[in-house]
Amino acid sequence: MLQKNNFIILFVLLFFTQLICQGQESCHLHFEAEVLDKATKQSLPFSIVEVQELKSKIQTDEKGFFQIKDLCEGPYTFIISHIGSVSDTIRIILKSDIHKDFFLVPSEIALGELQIRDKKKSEILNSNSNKLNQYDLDRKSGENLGTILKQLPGLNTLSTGTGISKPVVTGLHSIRVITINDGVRLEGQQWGSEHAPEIDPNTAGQIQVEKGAGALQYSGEAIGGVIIVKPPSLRSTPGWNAYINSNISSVNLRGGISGMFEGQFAKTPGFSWRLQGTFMKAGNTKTPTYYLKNTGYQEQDFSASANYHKNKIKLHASYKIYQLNLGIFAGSHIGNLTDLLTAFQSEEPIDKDRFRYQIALPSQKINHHTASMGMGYLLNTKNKLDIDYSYQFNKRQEFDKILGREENKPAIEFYLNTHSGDINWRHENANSSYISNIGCSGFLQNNYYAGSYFIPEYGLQNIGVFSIHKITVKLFTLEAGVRFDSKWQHITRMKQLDVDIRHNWMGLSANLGILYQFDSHLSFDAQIGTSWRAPHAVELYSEGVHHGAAAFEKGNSNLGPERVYNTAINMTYSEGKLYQAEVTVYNKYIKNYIYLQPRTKPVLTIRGAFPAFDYKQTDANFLGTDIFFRIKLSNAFDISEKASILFARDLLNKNFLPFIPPNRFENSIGYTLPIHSRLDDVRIELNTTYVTRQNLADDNQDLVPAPKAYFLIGFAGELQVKTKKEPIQVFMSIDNLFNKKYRDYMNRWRYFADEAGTNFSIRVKIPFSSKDL
Amino acid sequence: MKQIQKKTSKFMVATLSIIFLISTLDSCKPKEDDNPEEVITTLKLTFSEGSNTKVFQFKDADGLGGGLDGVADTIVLDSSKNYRLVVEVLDESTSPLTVVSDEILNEGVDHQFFFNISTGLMMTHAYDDLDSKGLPIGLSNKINSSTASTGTLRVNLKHQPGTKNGSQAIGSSDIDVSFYTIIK
Repeated sequence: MLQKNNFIILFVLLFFTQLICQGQESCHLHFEAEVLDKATKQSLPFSIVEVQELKSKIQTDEKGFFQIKDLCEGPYTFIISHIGSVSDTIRIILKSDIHKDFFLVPSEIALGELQIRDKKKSEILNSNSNKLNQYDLDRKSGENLGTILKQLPGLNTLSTGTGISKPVVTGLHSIRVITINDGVRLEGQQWGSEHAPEIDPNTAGQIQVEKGAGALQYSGEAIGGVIIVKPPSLRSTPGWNAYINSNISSVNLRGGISGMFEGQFAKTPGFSWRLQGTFMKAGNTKTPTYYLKNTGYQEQDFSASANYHKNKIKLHASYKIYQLNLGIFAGSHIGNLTDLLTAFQSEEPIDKDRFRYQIALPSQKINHHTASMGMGYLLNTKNKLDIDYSYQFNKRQEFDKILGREENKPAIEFYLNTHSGDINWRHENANSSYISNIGCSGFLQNNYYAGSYFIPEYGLQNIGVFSIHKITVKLFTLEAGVRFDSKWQHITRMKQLDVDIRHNWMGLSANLGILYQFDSHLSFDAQIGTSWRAPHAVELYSEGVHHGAAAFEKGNSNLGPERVYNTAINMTYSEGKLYQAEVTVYNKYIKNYIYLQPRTKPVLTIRGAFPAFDYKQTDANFLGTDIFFRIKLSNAFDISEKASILFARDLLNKNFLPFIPPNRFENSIGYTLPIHSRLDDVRIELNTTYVTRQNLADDNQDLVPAPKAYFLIGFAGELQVKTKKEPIQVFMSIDNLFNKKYRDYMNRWRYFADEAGTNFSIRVKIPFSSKDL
Repeated sequence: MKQIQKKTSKFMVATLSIIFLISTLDSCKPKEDDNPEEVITTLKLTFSEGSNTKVFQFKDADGLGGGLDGVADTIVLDSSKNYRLVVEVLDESTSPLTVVSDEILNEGVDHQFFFNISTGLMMTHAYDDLDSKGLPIGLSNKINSSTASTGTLRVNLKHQPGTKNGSQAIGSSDIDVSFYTIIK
């Protein structure tokens, strides 16, 4: 007992001694790093590393490796350069012996960046406002993709309750937003406004959003934007690393755990692999005053990927499975217009429940498999050829208790199969002042259904060719791209009858951008572009009552393609982590914008009267601005502001469009604690969210008027616990701190139910690693 | 170089077999006719008084998914009569037709018909059946017509799994039809 007490006293003493001693620097630290090419993951021999603080230059060896011994604690600035790669500067606060991998980007002046494995916040604060990195993803782990993306200025969500959320980019969503997951264009039943993207965000290392017509390499169909989800690079050196990432949330007693294990055997250099999995379970969500009945969900995801890299050849393969089973809020599942009105009029849902995990009817079950493989071949130092193939299978089953139907049979189910292939030839000159990507991509798709009719069975084929070029002359970068797509649609079965209807659409997409880099801090860019989208089978041939929406929708087979004309300007100022500011103004003019127009008379069925909607086309305009800035006031305090403003209008009918995100303003004030010997990066943050009432909505065309503006206060805290190796990261947050009762315009349940109440979440990420395997 | 080729081909074979394995795990297409669409086309009301029987119905031939409106008969009843009202729910799109009301009877604890009589229409309604928990279902009813009048009779079947307590406000509507009614 005495011994134990002594031990504690000793521990406490040591603890304080270290606290006191932290000012005294130890100058026996060892730093080593490898400089690698980001694209090929090959070492860059004889790179030059200048360490500003030491006023010295070091040349790496033939493996791109260098080391510096007997360093003191403190900040160091490395300027790394290599012929054929973009030089870059990175600042590291050295506190312990460390090994880093520096990835030099081979080109792309505009996006020039140096990536570092095992990112730390000090480096991460320099992120772009259209990009989320590992740190941003970790601090929101357990949330769905839409909620995670909301961290970016201008990104919003269209949600269905608290479990489902779809990303909204520049006011557009669903089939107007293309998602690229690990190089594969996600093909699910994206048309449904309650069908969330089938992606486990835990697989991502970086998520980037293109708001314009960019990313022509992936698609010419991005009307709203492109979301590019990238997994972290696999290991390039022998050894293994792993992490366990767990999270809990109080509002729905959600528990989630995600694990990753990756490595490279010393015996098989060039072969690296990763296994990753996630399990999550949540129960009924609590609003400030009641539980939302049947809102639990359970998600399980698994992924495996491998790379093999030798000389000029690089092969990769991956497999991902996403499985989600979720309950549909009983109060939102109304029979008809009369029920709907009853639901609107009641202050609280009539069907209430206590907390439970159990998922009852109505419910949905989603399975998404993605298998992909590809080959990269380095033709010579300037040319690279990539060939990729992927197969996706999406199965969506919606269960409901319908009279005359067995309970275990889905009321409606969709099976979507997609094969896709891409070929890309990349050329880059010696000093990277000219880069081009030329290639083609195509896919074959089949959709089947069973149960009630809503969308037809169809086959879809798409072939696209693209040519994208980027030229840098001094401080100017010019990027131009063009893409041609042809799409064939074959409708084979509608309303239980075999049919034979064929469509073919063709169109051109193009993008022109110019970037001017005033100095190392300030840059300006302007973009113009156009892209198009063929009407989806749902817009052409849907007919029926939309599950859970109490609305009858009818397609219109006369619809033609939509075309968008984009213009955007952007000004970015970045001075390390001291000041960051970015202003984007964009305009999208959409010709033949497809929308649902309400009929004046409801449809009369045996289940009662349903509001009816027809698919129509109009011309629409979206003008918006996204503003972001962060200022470090002192070593301890920082403040940030994000604002998104959007005006959307139906030009032909001189009216507003439904479900356009209202203006949103977010502020935060952060306090970073001084460096501590055991804890690191301790930061607390108070944040506010103010969302205006959507006044640019036609209340007469909506079932109920837009909800009031709301103001929320939240709290967040984070710290790193130092260990012998990598630190353990801990994030905590309290959303809706004062348990405010509110409804959000962008939530489809705003007709029936309040948003979630106070939510306390905690997330812990524990990394493991070893150089031996 | 040969070794690389060997490894490359091994890698390719491995991934191809994984992809093949996955594609066999889950069928890419629903089984034909395993999950056909179910439709309710008809709500049939049979009013009987002694040997005198009157049948009125609401029929929506293309079902819920169809865009065509259903058509409701006008109910015409004699004044000062005690009618027995039997409710039937049918799917007439199948051959032979499916009697959906049998299922309502079997799952009586989860279902209840509600009869809303507009003010001015001189008739009263009483349930004449009970589920296993002692609450009415409404497949069998008593209707009493008094003086000559007109109005609407709304027939509303509520699905109330686990929540049935006699209140019409709960649950979702499986059937909701209004009939113009004349008492002569």
